[in-house]
Amino acid sequence: MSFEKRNYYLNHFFHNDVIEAQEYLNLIESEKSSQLSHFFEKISDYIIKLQEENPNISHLEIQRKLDEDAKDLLETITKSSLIASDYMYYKTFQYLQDHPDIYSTLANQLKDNTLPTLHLFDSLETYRKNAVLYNEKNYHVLQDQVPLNFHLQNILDSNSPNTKKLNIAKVYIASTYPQEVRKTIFDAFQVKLLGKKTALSLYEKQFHDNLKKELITSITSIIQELDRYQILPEYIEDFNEQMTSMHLEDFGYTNKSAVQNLYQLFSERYLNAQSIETLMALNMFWMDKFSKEVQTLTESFYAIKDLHLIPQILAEHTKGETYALSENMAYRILLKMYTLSPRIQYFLDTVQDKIQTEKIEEIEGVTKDENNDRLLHFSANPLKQLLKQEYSQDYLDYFSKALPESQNILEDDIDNYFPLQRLTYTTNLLNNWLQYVMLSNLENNKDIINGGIVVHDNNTIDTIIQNKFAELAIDEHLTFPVKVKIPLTFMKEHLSAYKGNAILPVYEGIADFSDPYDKALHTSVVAPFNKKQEKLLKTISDDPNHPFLSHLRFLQNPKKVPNHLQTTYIDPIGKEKKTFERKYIDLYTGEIFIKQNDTFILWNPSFIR
Amino acid sequence: MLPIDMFRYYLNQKNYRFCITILQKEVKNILIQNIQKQDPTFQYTTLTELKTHCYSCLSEQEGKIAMQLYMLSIKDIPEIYELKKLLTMYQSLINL
Repeated sequence: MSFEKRNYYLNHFFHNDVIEAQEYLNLIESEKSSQLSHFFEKISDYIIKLQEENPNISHLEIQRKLDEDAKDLLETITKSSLIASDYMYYKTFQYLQDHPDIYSTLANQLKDNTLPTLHLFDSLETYRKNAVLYNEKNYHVLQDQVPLNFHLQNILDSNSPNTKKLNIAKVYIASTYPQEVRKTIFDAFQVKLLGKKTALSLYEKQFHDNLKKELITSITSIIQELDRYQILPEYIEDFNEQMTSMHLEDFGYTNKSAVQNLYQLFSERYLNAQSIETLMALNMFWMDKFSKEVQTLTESFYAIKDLHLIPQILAEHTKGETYALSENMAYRILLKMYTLSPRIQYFLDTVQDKIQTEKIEEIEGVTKDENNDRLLHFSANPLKQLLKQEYSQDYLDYFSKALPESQNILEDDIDNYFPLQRLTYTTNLLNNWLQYVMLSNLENNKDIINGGIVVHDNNTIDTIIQNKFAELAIDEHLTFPVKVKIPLTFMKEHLSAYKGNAILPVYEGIADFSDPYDKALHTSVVAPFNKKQEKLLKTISDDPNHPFLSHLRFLQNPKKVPNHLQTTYIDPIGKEKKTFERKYIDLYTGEIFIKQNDTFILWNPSFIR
Repeated sequence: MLPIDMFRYYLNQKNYRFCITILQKEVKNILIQNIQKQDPTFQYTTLTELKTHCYSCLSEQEGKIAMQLYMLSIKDIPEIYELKKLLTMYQSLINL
């Protein structure tokens, strides 16, 4: 069936939406169909496993389980949405403690201001102002409105050293006050004893603790989801193959116990021992992986539900065969999804935008979660009403011919597809936001020794700055560098609007991660080190021709920069000096700088021996 | 205005990335001018801000174009599709 194309943006008709979807699908069809079939197979295996575990389970119960899984997934991702802003606050409270002059200037400027609402992709400056206001307000609450009793006042006024006063007060409060007020009383005591800077450190700790919990929940949940649909084993296989090509099989996860051990490393117990920066890098990596898979994963979910495929998947399995989604069927179900998805995306985006500027209670279709008011629920009803009017009978008429296997009731289709699209939308938004907060904090982050934009030797700088995407890599205390692709224009605009420039550190040593044929190793698994890997790195000797191993050792101990990443300088009296010189790249001009006394100066290779 | 000759030259050279950059800039400029007619104080900072202003002070069509412009800048999609989309967006804006 074909339609005459009218301008998509000027005439919003059902037929235009279908044509747009067809045009997109025709371009990506072969790749998309094979991806969808691949994921479809994985979910089919999951459905079969559900039935094998519980042979009495009905088809309806399996479908409900899939719906519940998708709902849990959305909840996990929504909960992770607090990570980006909590990390910004955590870094801001750290920064303000180190820069009391900036704190005082901002506190004087902001006197009597009310606390503004923070927006997505807000600047470090906005967070700083917000943190100062927050601290001033809460400092006065603790200072003026939480009185100390006679005993605590005596401890405060005594001549003992501050550490002793704090210890005595802690013991006294624990033995005297009920659990629920102990923290407030002790915080008030600390603030009265040590002043405003202490209040900042209290908030830093508060954000640190919340953030750690959120990061652990996010990482463990993503790993569970990738494992549930058997995506993680593929990554592990790929990692093992790469390690084999590097003659380092033992660094991989080649047997059952190594794989089990890898899962243990992603448990709360092990992750809790990692620093915030390591967890942020790890979470950014796995969120990025997840965001690459989530769209096709949700498309498979939708195909199974819309086409009522559970009975067929199970029937084929009983016969010893596998139900496969044909290319033709994949195209037709994708056409339905891609007809609806731009409309759902626009609806979600405008609602998301209103959340930034209007009161939640006044936004149609948005409600706060009963248990956590930072979590929001979206209803698809306003969109359903709109599309019912705009599409009228056309939707049913068209899809009853194009996709007769489905009932094609618009309202039901939106009900089924909307939560899945929201999951994709939220994951992608969150992924970009996490990348942005990492980039924003990279320049002055004393906890990340080597992290920044990847500049390959064979890349001209022009290629990097003209490309749509750039690579961000970070060395943390993890088995491989965390490497993600970032949308360049988007990030450089945000960085320059908010920090005044788009200058970022350059990642050093990317050439170390290439195989013997000079092909770049891609990053398929990043995890904390296991004991075997740590031991291996201690015992195996370096290959002088390939610095791969010494870079892995650097990851094991990111404070100890290997020789090949250090620069030899000749000082004015002719003496050689080795140092890990950070270079910086301006994402607009491609110019390379070094930093001296907080000032960027153009890098001159002639300094280097 | 779109520098037609330059655009045609690069299109014939199949330098789609460059054509995309030119079109993106034009679409962005038209949206900025349209916002400034409603709010003369508006200054462009980022695509995110532009989108928000389009939603609040321009038509639904312009809002949809702004969202698409934003989405195209972050999604990994075939260049030829991106180029076609931007052309439609540009044509829509000059015909509004």
